Amino acid sequence: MTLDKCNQKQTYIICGFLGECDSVMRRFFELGLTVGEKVKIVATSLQKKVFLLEIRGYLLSVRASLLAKVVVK
Amino acid sequence: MKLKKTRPLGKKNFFEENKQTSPKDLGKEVLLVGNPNSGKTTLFNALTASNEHVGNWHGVTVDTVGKGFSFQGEDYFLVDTPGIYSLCPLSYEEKVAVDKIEGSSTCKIINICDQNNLQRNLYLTLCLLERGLDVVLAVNEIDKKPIFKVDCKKLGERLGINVVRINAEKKIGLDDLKSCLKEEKRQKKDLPYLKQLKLVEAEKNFQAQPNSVQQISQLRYAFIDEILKDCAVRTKDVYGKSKLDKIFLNKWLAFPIFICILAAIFQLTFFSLGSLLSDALGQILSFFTTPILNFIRSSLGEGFVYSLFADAIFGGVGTVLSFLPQVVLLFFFLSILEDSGYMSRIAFIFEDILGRIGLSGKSVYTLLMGFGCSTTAIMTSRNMEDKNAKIKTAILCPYMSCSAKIPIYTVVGGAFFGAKNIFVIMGLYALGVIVAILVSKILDMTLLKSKAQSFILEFPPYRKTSLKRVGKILWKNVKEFLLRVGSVMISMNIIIWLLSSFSFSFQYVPSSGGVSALESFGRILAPIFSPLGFGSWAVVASLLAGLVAKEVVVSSIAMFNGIDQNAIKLLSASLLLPGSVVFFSSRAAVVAFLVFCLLYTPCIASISMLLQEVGKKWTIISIFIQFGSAYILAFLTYQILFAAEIFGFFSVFAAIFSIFAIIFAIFYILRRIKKKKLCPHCEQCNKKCKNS
Repeated sequence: MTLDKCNQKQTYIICGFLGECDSVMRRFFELGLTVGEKVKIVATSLQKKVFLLEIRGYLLSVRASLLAKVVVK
Repeated sequence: MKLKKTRPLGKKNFFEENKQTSPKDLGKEVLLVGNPNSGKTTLFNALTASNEHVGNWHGVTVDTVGKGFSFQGEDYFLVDTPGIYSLCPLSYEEKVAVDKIEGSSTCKIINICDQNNLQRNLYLTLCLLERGLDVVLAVNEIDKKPIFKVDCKKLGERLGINVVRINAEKKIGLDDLKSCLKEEKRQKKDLPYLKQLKLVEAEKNFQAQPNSVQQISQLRYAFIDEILKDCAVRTKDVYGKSKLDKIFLNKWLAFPIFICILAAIFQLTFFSLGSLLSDALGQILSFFTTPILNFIRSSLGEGFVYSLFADAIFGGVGTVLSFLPQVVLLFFFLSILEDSGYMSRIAFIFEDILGRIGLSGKSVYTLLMGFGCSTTAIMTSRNMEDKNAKIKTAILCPYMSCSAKIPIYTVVGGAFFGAKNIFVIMGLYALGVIVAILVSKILDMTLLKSKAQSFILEFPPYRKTSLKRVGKILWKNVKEFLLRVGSVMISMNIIIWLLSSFSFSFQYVPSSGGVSALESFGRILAPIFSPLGFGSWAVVASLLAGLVAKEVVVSSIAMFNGIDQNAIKLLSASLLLPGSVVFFSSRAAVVAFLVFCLLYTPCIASISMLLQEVGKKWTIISIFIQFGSAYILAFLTYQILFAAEIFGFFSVFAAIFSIFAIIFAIFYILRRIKKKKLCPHCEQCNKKCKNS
């Protein structure tokens, strides 16, 4: 399952990434979204196009379309 | 401490402009780098006694700024850079910072880390150390109860660099930090994961492989976790998380709350508190200028000199100066919003809506700043990664009614609409936003199609506003406003006064009775504006003067009316300007004029900033779009309101409604016909589809 399909208030573990390593994926890695890391969906926008994530002890808002590259369980 | 003048670097690089002067001449160069919102500019201001713009959100600094300072007999030149997460830039501002770091590989680097978010901040530190750069780590203790309690000495030993605990806001630990700048570079300590990192980097095409690139990040984070376990104690708090977000980010409450906050700011700025202060300042100004004018009148008569002072200097500038309280209040509230941490929440809640018109949630910063000053707002569009979204945001900035337009709405609108002017002003602000949305949508569908947006934004914690910091921001803006009023406005007013008082043959028009140079020029252009209801030469001349600075529009009108220092009284008197009846044939013309002022080409400063940010092509396009939209909408406003004055509001409303209904019906029928022609299998392609 990809992160953009996940439910609010739930915690998931990142288990992989889809597609080529572009600048956005690189930014994900720099911000701490790496395999094995826990990620919690704190909130979503009204139309679920933006997600607010809790990762490595801080909050990060990311567009849902970008999270379609992140595989979680 | 000896201080030197602040110099903005970046595109208009100081060193490029003054090749004789290099950083070496100004002192030992020191770079200030760190994650966004870690307190770089606060530290820069503390070290160099500057007053650079700071705020509690991502991307306040968009260009490098340099200033010198001395410590124990040695000169340093400190360069503040935009925030970065690593040495791989994603946006323009990040590229500016990384280029600066790569171009200054031998100088000292102060890497500032936010103690509350140390884990993520140390990632950049490792990137810098891997390059062998000479780094001093400044751990910025922003809050009293930080998430990480760090043993700086131990951390320094593990990283092989000097680590200093500071509080940039309270200027604590700055001398220790400065002492570290004097020290020679320590011998490079090999980071334990470097061998593994080099092995990964040696792999073929490693940069295209997510696993390989991710492995590098994992190696760095693993090392960070290891050293933090050894050198720091962590609380269970999450950086940026607050119970307030349950209200501010609530799906159903977020927008009403935002609208209430904006409405409260507008009410306080333009009406209750703002108008009270404006009236008071107007009376103070009148108190000082009236005796001077009376003295000139009694000694020299109502001639040339009296007219110069009454119309050009006191009349025009005095009118604008009395709006200073409103400008101050607007910047005050914007500063509180910036400092509170609410800006990032606004970007989050607006991403859905702005994404639909091809903008980014980050555009909210820029567009909100546009209510203060378009010039500075356009500059903040740099922090957007998507080039098309950036251009669109920069072009849309002038549609957000800037503070310089407040005098136009208040004086002209107030004179004709009295107490009902509040609705006119609110309508104008709303119209600016609506036109911006429409223009953005049209650009998104035609010239600037948006790509997949890369909206990634960190949430800062909510913080109490520092009144000292807000005071500094206010002082800076007020100083700029007063300097502009003092220099540009007075000189412009004198030029306009000269042009309106003298003919081309240099004869003083009031005594000789000829036609002034400005009137001759205005009469040539006036017919263009006749369909908009204000085809008077004086109004056209005011609009032309407004290209220099929007404040000049109202001071010019005041001057052409010959209402001298009494213009100030107009603010509260809400009486009809006697001369304005000649300029504006009806109330419909006044509204059309205000609409035109809201939307037409911004001032020269904004145009030059647009030129710098989006290039020549898009600046020219934007000028055409702004003038075109202003002309069309002012024309429609005048024609509709004028018709309403003659035929009644409901007849005109019915006519407009019918026209829209017909247009909608035509579009609907055309869409149905087009849909029928589409492939029945997928309803997206034409009949050449393989499925059919």
